[in-house]
Amino acid sequence: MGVISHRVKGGRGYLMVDNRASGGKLEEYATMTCGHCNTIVVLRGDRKRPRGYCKKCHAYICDNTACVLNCTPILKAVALAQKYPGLPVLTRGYQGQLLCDPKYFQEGKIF
Amino acid sequence: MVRTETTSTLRIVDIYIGGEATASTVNRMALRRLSTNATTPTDQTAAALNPLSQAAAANGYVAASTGPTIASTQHLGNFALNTFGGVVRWVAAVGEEVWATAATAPNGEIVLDSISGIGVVTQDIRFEEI
Repeated sequence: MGVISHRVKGGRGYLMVDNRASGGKLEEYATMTCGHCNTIVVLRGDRKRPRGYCKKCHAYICDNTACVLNCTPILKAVALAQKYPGLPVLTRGYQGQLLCDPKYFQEGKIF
Repeated sequence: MVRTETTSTLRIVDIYIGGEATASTVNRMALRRLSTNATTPTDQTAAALNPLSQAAAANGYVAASTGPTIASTQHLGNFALNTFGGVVRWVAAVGEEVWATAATAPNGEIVLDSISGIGVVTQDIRFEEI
């Protein structure tokens, strides 16, 4: 849980977009990375709805339906990618859908 | 682009994009995975941030004999900037890095390129190899 715990306890990622040289403005945002699909999510301060959270893997998750419905921890996906090279475990379809059978994520699971 | 080797795993911790265009040009940069890796990429050896670090197994590249096919998949990140001097920097929090591993597509390589706009940029992808 060491690394994963940081996802909730730790700080946020940081995104800076500086367009002042071209007459724009400096924008700074906190970011999080989805614990399931690894997508970088910019955290807008004016959002009212709560952010997603996976109670199984203790990580923040994005709004993609597949990420909400399936617990696919990114570290598990990395392990699967090493075990089954070429299996599309780290990537998602353009609508966020899983591209591999979710049963792979059950491998080695005790509970 | 960054590409892992069969025995390597990396996680991206920092992305920097600096605009170098001489006139106002908006680029929309996207961080994506590949469906087919490039053939014979011209490797750019990753420089170590710490002189005591072992040389990285992973490499970067910006050219190849046959370019990669970029997957029609969800983007890992989108960064829009005016390349007329604009700067984008993303830094991951601990445990929130973007991962790549085991060389084979779609897990082994990550591309950061413009999906809209042709402004010249310089980009720097920093990764930690596991």
